[in-house]
Amino acid sequence: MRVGFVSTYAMNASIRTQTMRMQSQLSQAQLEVATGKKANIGLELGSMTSQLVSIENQIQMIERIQTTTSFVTNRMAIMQNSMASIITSGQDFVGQLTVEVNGALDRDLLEQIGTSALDHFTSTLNTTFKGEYVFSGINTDVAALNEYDPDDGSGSAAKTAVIAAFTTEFGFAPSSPLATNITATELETFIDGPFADLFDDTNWPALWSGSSDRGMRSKISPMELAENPTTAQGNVFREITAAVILIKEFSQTEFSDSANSMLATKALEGMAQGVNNLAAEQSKIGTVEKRIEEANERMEYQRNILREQAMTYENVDPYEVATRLNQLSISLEASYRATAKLQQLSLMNYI
Amino acid sequence: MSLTSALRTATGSLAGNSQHVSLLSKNIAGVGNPNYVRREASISTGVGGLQNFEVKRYVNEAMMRASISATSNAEYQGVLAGGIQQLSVLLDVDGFSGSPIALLGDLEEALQLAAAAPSDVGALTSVIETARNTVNSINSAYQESLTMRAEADAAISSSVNNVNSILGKIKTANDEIVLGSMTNQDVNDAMDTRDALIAELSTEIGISVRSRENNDVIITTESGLILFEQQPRSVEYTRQAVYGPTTVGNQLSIDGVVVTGDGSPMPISTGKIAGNFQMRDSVLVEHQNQLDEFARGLVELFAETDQTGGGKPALTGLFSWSGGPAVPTSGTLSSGIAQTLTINVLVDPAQGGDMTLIRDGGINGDADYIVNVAGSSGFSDHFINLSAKFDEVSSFDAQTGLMTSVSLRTFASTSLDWLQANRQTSLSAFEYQTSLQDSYTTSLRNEMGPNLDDEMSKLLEIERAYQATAKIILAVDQLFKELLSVVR
Repeated sequence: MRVGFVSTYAMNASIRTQTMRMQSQLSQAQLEVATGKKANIGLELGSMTSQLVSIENQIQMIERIQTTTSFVTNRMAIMQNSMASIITSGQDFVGQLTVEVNGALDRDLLEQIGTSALDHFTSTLNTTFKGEYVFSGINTDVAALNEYDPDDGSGSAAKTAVIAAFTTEFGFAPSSPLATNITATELETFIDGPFADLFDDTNWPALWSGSSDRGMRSKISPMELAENPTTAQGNVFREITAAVILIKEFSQTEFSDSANSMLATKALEGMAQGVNNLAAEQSKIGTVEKRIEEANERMEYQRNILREQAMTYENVDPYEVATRLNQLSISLEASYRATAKLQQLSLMNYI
Repeated sequence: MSLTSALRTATGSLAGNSQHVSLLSKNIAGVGNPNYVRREASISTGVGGLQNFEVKRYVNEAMMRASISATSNAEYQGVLAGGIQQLSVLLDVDGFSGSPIALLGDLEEALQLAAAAPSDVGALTSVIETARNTVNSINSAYQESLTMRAEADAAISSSVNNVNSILGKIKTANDEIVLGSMTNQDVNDAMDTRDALIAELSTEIGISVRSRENNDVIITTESGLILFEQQPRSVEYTRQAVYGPTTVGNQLSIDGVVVTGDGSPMPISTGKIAGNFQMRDSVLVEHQNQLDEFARGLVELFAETDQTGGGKPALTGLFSWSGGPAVPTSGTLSSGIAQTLTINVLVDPAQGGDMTLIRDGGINGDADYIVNVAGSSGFSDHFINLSAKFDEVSSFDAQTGLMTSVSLRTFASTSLDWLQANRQTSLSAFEYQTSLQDSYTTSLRNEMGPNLDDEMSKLLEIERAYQATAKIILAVDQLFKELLSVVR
């Protein structure tokens, strides 16, 4: 062999393959400049690819949890609002009854106070959000407080039970004129005994409320669960209902003045206690709301870190790519020039 | 010395010159032909000034052998790299959205949405639709894998046809060469043809070539099995047109000896054919097994269990398969399950199912499996428990080539890593072998191909020599003329 022998075909072919290689590198660099990301991530990362994918999964999961916790917080905000409204109307109820106890004890006025308080309480406790009863715990499709005295006059199991309890205790219906013989002490015994029993753990779910005793449980961060602490099964709602029902149901019963005063006083006390306890219930939800807020902040922080991590996997250094692109186009141009020159360079031109 | 002998020498030189010109013109014609091997003249002067003209074909055997083996290696890696590239492109679209790990991520998200709003039809629908998308992706990835196996099989079959036809052509060229060499004729053109055919053969199958007297060659596979010795040996392969989950493809045999597969005594390991066998019987089968195990893992993860503690067997949940409602055995490959994976009809509203069952359990109609015993519409526990299972360790079959005791999530991510790592390795091996082949081919062509300038300058030399010879003839003629005029 002769040293340095170059065949014409090989010379031309090598220029061609070099040019082609550079062109493909150029197109890849162009893509990287345009997108800011590596042109072929899987090829670049190899066995580390799944790390990028799971980081992206985690980011999406966090974003998804952030949107879904907004359902939870909305639900809780609505509950807070409703309870605030119950507190206000409860305070009104207490105020009005105080005036009545110290004054005339007008039966019609009492009935009006009872009816409006019950209507407001029923409708507020049955607040819905996206078609779900917010106070019903996980039984989201069932009313938190059954209608006591429906407008269509069909009556309710609760109403029947209240009247039956009264009849059993005294031997006549509340509407009977004999009620005037009932003493304040006898009435108190009834209210603290058979009437109170209507709101115990057995009767409350059976007669009054379809709610569950467990609140809805939700994921508030990838690792944390939170349960809504408040449902209509809570004692506080029973206390308020009992107070309101006393006035609503028995305001027209012909009690003696002393018994009537006892009725109003019992209702007043029950409501006052209910309003107090409702504030405690509000702070329970507030604690969960606070937890969600903190979890959200943590997740936001986590998401930023994950984003940065993902970027280190998939992003390219823009300066590096720009320089590479520049160099490639320069060498490609040089290669074109060399090709043209070489094609001209032939002994043929000189003989 | 006499004038007559001077004249004879000059005539001989003229004949030599014209032979040389014809050689150069042949070389010049071969400038653009990559398979043309440059001829060189060696001229010696014989008795009485007669020129002995001999043509030498300029061939470097060692370099040629290296080039052939580099070609086979590059082709082998090329098939692998191309196949794996094709597999991963299927998943690579849009940030690996089709890969098992990304599908799991989507499912987890849908479960989270459903857990936050268990009574919301939209949230439940999104679980169903995400599951449907998962099923479709797995089904089609599996189908694609089967199709690729059939394609590899078809490629093997067409390679085998090609090998047989090349061997036939080599026989023709070889016969001409051997006969020509025995009778001392110019066989260089036929040798060019045969070298080109051998190079072409090396793309299909790894070979080694040995020469014998009279320029005869013996071609064997790299493992030493004879492919060509005076006669081509028969290369046989029966095509398997359709591939199912458990189909095992046929093997290749040369002269009755099986040269592929684990049991082969003399296996071939390079060239396109070996590459396609590797794809068909190893890479794609492993990929298929991984999809099967992922599908089985999904069925198992979503399966429902007896809530009463009565010990009834687990039944299929959100995902079902051809063997449903039974759940496939844990940790054991169930071939083809990725193909039959479906959404459970009983929860799919598009097929008359009730999607609230994915919240409550008891999908298969047995009350003992109901999780949401009270039937609460806001029951989120089941969704939360399901998504926690993504990270619980379960067992997988060793035939996937991955870890056997991991969570479904880890399994899915190692499956992606397996593919990408293979892609990286095969592509870098391919690039290396290609550049090796390139550099061999380039130096081979540099050495063996003609250079136009070189040939032209030689032509100029001959032209000068021709002119000088003509001058000599003219001078001798003058001398004779002088001499004869004196005689007259």
